[in-house]
Amino acid sequence: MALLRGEGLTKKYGAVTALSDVTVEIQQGDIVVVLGPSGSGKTTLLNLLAILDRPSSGRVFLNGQEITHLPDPEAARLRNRNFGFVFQFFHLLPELTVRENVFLPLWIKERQASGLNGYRRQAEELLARFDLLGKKNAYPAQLSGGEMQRVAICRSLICQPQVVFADEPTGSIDRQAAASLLDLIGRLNQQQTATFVIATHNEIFLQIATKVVYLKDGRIERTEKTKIT
Amino acid sequence: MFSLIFFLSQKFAGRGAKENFLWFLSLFSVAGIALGVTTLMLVLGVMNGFSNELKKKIVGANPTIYIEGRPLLHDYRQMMKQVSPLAGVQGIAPFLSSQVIYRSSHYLLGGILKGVDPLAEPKVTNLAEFFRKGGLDCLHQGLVLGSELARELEVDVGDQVTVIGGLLARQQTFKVTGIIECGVYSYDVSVGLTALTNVQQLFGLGDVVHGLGIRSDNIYASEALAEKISRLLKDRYPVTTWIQKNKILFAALALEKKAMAIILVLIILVASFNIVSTLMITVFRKTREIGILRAVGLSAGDIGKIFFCQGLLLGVEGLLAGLLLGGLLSYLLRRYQFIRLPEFVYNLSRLPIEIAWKDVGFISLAVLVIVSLASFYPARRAARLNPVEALKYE
Repeated sequence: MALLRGEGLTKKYGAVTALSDVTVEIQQGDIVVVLGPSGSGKTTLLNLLAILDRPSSGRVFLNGQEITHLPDPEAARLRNRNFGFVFQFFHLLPELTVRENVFLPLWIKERQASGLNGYRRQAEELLARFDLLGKKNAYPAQLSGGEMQRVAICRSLICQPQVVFADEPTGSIDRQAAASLLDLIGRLNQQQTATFVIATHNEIFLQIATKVVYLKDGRIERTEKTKIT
Repeated sequence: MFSLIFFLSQKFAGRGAKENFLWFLSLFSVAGIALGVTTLMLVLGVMNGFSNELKKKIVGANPTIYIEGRPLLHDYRQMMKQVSPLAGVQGIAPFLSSQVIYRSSHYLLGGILKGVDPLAEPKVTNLAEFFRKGGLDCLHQGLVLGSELARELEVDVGDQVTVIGGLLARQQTFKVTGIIECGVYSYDVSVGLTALTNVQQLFGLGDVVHGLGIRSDNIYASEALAEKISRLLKDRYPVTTWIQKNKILFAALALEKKAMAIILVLIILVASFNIVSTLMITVFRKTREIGILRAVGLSAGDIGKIFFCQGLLLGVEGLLAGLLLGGLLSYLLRRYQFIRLPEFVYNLSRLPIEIAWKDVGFISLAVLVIVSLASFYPARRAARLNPVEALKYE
């Protein structure tokens, strides 16, 4: 059984069809790279799979359970517990310190202020693994692009999600930072069997992909399983 | 969960990172509410002060309960013996009261002549404290005039004043032996006092009085005591209280206070518009952050709560600051009495102020209700933002 499955996903914005009848399957431990030019529907596909948006038609399943039309509070809880997000522009909360940004999803999950010390400790452990402990009290504006992206990855992992969605994760960082990000995702996937769905037009991700979905004009052009699998 | 909502509310109000713009907006919202609360508190406090001062003066110059004859009480001594032992009765004194004309060497003025028992009267009124010239013993020797009445008649202690009154227009000349001032203009300009026996003699009455004045232990329990007395006297005579006699005056004061409260609550209402605009600007500026929070697991309801809580927080801060400032100013006004009043207009030389807990409760409730209503719409707008659109927001 697939970990995550999108079935016949279609998304229309008025007369414009952003995604048309797309079916994808993601297995535990996969690194699925969704490749395609701008406007091909990569972000739309990610948003639908992560139930940040609802499809015009089609269904999404997580561990065989349909999650397409969950009521908002349940969808929010499911996103918090099962999905992590890494965005092109990092999307860290500028008002929060690095450590606060990282443990925020854990606080949302547990909903107990009494556990704050524990959340801080877990965030610090994660930051230490990513060589960011020294920056725990810094604000996002005080970090480099690469550092911000690593903080975003820490945040995406704090709740030990089943799937991490990354939307153009190298879009705002230099080549060197992109290379270390690639390495990091590969290591996380191997060490923790973390599952990644990466929407990108940067072909360097093909090096670590287990599956590649080529999108064009909102449709799947082709799907490839790579030899890494 | 509340701690998380509160934490994010604080951060979005620009208090975590140095977001000066939002911080200034929040500061002005808080200041607006605080000024409204301070104004409301001070005005209601001054109105309480005036009302209570007036009550004190009225109660000081008059008994709290009256037993009135029809028109005379013949068995008043027996009645005094009956009523005196009742619980709550502090003192009882007979009186005769009649409209008269006062004539000095230059002027003729209408007024009221009261005949009182110089020994019993201090138990039902604060008469002894009102003497500007003379004392209680002067009542036997002549006429004691209200200060304004004496001024109008252009007489002083030692002068002669003729009192004309009764159905047969009897008249008698009295020597002015004292001047009193209780601070209530209507009293000071009309009342003349003498011993009960002098009035009985003037009008050719025997040992009768017009009524009995009673002072109750608790002035606000007068109504209940009056009912008890009325039952004791088998409803033979009307028993009235100071509240009934001044009903119109106090009703007018209460109405005035209500009107002022309603008008001043409008200040808070106007100040709450600051909160609406602050929250709307915050929602607008934090659109992307709202998208992020939705992505990491907050529901639309949680987002709404963050902004509702932020509005409420601004309101509560404004309320506390206003109560503190209002309390401090009230204390300073009471302690140092630095606002002087023209005494001939207000019968008070300093601005009186008394803060009532009831008013503080009313102000707090008004602020919380208004601020909740003001926060509702921006919170709903924030909750309704589409997370995907919010994440795209630059």
